[in-house]
Amino acid sequence: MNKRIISFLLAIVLCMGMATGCGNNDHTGTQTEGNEAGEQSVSAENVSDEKHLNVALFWVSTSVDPAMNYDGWVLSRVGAGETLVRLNMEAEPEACLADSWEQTDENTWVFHIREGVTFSNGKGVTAEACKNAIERAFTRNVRATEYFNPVSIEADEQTLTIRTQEPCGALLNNLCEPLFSIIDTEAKEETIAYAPVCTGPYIITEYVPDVKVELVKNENYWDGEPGLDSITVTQVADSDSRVLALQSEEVDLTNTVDNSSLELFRDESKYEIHETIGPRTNVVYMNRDNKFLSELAIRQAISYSIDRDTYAGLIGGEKGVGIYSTALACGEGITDTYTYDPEKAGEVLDAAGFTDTDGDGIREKDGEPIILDYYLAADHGSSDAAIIAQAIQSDVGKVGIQIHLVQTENMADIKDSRTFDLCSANDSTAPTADPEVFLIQHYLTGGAGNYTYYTDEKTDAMIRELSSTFGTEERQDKAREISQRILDDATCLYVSYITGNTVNTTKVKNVEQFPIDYYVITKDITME
Amino acid sequence: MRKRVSKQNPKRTRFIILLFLAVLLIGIACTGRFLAPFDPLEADFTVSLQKPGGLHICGTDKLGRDIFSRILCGAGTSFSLTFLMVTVTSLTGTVIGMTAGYLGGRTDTMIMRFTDILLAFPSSVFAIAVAGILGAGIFHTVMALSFVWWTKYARMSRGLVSAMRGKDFLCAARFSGVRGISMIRKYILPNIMPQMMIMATLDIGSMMMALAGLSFLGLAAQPPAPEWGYMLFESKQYMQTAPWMMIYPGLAILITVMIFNLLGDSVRDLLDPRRNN
Repeated sequence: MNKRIISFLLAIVLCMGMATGCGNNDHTGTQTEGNEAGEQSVSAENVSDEKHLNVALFWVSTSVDPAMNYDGWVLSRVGAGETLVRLNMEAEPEACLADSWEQTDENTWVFHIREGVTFSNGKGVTAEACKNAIERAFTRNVRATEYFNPVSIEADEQTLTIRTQEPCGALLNNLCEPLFSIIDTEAKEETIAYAPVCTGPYIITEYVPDVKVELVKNENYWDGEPGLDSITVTQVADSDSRVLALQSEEVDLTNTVDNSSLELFRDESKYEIHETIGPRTNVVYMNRDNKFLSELAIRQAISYSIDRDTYAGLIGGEKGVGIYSTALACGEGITDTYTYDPEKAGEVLDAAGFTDTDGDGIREKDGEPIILDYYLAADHGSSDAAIIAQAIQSDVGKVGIQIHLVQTENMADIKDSRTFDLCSANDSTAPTADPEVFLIQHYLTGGAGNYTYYTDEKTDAMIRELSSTFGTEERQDKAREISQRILDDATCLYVSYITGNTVNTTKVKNVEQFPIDYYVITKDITME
Repeated sequence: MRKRVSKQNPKRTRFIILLFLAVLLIGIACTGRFLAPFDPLEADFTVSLQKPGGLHICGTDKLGRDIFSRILCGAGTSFSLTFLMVTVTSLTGTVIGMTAGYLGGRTDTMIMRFTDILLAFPSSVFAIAVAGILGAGIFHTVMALSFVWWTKYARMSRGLVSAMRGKDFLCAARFSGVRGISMIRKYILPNIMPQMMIMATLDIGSMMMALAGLSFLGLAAQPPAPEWGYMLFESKQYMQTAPWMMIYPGLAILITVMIFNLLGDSVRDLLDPRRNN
């Protein structure tokens, strides 16, 4: 009998515990909880009026210092950081903190800094402040010099003059890179790392590395009143978890949702999907340091044997052809040198002397079978890399080349050490909508991101020529030529062009999907 | 007397049924490759994410691979690894434990303290750490799990052997001149064998779950291997749009682990003298 009473009491306690646990799940409520009952009811009213947006992004960096690594991208995505010039929906540079500019000679650019713009701490944004922020980027991040090499940066009230070492046709685009975000450099270094003073529509109030960013409206924003009162941006690295968070309304906006999950958000009464083809490409590097991949025939055979049309159908986006996506003018008009043709792949291998002599399904030369290690990792919050890798493994296997898949967590190390034969990547081929920087990094002999050991004197010369070419159209034409040359040499496998997406509940209004993916939160986003 | 017989019969019947099911599963695992209607590795993009029915009774995955064929072939991987690991760890653990228990003294202390240290490592966390350092892959994971898994067998066998010390039959054997390995083989091992077998049988399910769990985390089986845990990992993305990718490998794990756990219970019911009394 005693046992029954005890069990009954325990069951009641358990039920009470569950009820308590499930009861108050309102995060915004807990933020404004007061000590007294009266205060609580007032704050609850305030909360209901407050326009608070919960966002899930695949990455919240280890700092929000724009000069560190790619952390400036996060600063820009959350709507805190701004640059002198920004890229619009057509990926063209438009005025931001600089309201006008002029190129006075090949190497000199003069910018006029917009009058009346203030940092979130109320300080005015002068040419001197912009100079300090840009110079700081150069002293902290080697990547800055890949964009341009300044001989001098001079400030005179609201006039900023940048002189470059060589003519830099992409300077305007390159200044849009969040690395060059204008921040108040007089703030302490710790402050810059965790809550830099910027000019954007939102101000960072709390930042937890790799976890979340809390922001509030910048009351002094120069470009009108921001549409939200506060924002919580949480890092949710896993694509499926972001999907579940949006479905359960834990968040109201997320991006980079996998193609297979987009179907879940087609109900227009509940969700909005915004999609735009961007400059991102799913690419597979082929390391020429490998004795098989150093042979053009093998690279060509692999290129012929993969069915990129079908892969794009599986993962979404467009079939890849050359380096650049069709979001850029230089991505259009490329001749697809390696259309899917497994028979041709076999012929190329036969002609080069790679045949299957022992009947095991793998071709050999001098008794050595063609077996390649393919490294893959989930990239930019997407699991497409695994699908692409397995599809390529299956297709390439059919022409007699065996691929061994290796999953890795730390792809950066694998790439830097060049220990791969093949490896997957999700590259933004034109981070500032200009094609030059990506070529310098990935295809110029000795480039920091030249993971494939690609080297070609003519390509090097063409890239140098591109640097000193002015005019958008001329630059795009030159980049197209280089892209075609690199493609013809079967340098990498350009599998698909990625369609960037942002998905939000219908409560959220004025969301846009920019082709350049370091813009997510804008001043126009608001909530019903 | 009649009452006792009626109690034993259901136990034995249950054991026979479960043993039959376990043997059936092992049979399927051994012949899975030949029974599979499709090549488990070959992608056929034209039938991507096809619902169960028709030619593909369990449906297809994103790459158009037949899930039923992958489950059948995956059984071979899961079973062979599980049995290999259970055999290796139970034998290693039992031998080490028996040695410690039989020799006693300083050897016993040293072996058991080392065992205590290893017991402090949670097996899955240790396997994750090893995979992190040496790289993901079945070999590394199996090695890591084996390194910490044998300890419970050592502890158990050492306890049983220690409890046997000073028993009359061992004294009698000693007076008859039996020593060392003969003593262990003829007198100690047969007495601890039932308990060790019960433990090993009960362990099959846990081992299978541990391996599937690590594959689910992407640390053991690597793509495109048809392994049940890895199949669950692949299905995660399609949980809502193609649930069959998750349901069938999940059911395979559930049924197999359940059968082996029940078989372990059944073996214990039959072999454990205390329970029989």
